[in-house]
Amino acid sequence: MLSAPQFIALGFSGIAIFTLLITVILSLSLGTHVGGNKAIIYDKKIISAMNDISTKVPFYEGIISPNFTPIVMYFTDRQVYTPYSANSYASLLKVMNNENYTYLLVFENQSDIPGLKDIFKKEKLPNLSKNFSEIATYNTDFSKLHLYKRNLIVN
Amino acid sequence: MSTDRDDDKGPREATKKLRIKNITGSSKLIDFIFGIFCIYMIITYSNFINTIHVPIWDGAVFLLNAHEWLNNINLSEIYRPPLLSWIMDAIWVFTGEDWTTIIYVQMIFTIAGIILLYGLLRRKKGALFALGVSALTLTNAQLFFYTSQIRTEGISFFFVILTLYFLEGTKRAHWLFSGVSIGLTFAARYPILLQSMIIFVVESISKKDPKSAGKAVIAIVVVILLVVVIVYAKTGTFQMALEKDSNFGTSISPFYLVNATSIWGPAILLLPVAFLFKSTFKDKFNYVFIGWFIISFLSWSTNASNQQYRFTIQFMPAAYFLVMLAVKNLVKFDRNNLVFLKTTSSTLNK
Repeated sequence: MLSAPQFIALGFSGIAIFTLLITVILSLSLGTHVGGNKAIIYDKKIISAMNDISTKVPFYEGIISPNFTPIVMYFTDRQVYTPYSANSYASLLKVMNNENYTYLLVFENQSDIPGLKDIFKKEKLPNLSKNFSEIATYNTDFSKLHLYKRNLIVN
Repeated sequence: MSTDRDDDKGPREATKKLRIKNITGSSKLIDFIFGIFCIYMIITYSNFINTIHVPIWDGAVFLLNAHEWLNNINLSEIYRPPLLSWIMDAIWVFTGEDWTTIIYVQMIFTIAGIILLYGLLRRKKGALFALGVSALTLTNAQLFFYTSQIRTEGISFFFVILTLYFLEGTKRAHWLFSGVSIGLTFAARYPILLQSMIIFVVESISKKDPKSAGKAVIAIVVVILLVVVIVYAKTGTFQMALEKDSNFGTSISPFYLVNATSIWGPAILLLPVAFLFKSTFKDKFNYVFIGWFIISFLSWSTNASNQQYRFTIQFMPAAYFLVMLAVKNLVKFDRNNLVFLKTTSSTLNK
């Protein structure tokens, strides 16, 4: 027969071992979901889109992108700049003029720049046509990409 | 106090314990289970990595930096530790520049780290204990996800374990190797130097071999200087992090405490139990893991501006080691082992 302290110790041991098993099982099932289920990393079409963008943007030209800067930069092999300081559409245009950027790559409904989030919403994108010409769109698993070229500024 | 009845129970309990030991205590059986576990994890890692079609943000930065090191052009982000980019370059020299050749690098380092950890703990604490710590660590969701990406968590994790492995070695040359390993921890991920240094300091104090420790310090300084000089020569400066991310020491944040179960799973609730038993403090080897866990936990908690679950990856083994200590003490429960109970004279006589 077990004494009371032995019985309690056995109970605690059982709970402890059960906790370890639960931890391993839970962790294993959670591991693949840490980055979210619809993250850019699972997108099968992004790299081919980037490769195509690099054929449309001349080598000496840079691209303004409101997010995923290093990914766009690595796979397009172009200078990519994210104007974190821009807080409005006007300031985005100003940055593009000042820094001589002609190309803008937009991930529909997304932006790491808080001030530009609204501008890149699907329903607001047609407004860009005032200053940009859309030269390509790419439907990917993760998003819809729009490549714009700045219209010539006539003084 | 022992009675006749207790004495009768002795042989029966001993047989029962022996039977349990035969099932769970066979090192070869546990080694076999560990082997199967590693194969299972390699398959799980590979399956998950194959679902990744684009590198994660930081992964793209390391790829850019590797491309720029290889082609001798300015680095995109100068504050990124260089070792991963150098490893990529070493691979690309043979394969040509292709990001898909890098995707398994972190997994290899992580599994290698776990095998070293298992080997070390098996020697020090037994196979079952080692299996527990290794399984909890390698299956951790944060560790699994981030070491599946092109990042530095798995590589720095490996060098922290390698440092411990060398410091627990028997030959004097191991101290020198541990110094190199500490330097490489720095090259892999700058802030993780602290964790390797904690292990080094605790081991140096407990081993009391200042001559060997001195040699290790020389190796640490040489490797770190080499890394700094190479990066400085390339970029004209040496920066370890963005200013906004290096806001340490202003106050202690409860972030990691509040999110402990999300980070480490429910097993973390057992960790404080380890400190209730005297045996935790009797074994000097445990002090490495106590120091490693407490100082790492506190140091990340003092970063007021950047708190993320993944920062706990490199000291996962320390957390789970203490969890396993708690479980071990509970399974082998002895009232007299509790820190808040004084050992009675009758127990001492026994």
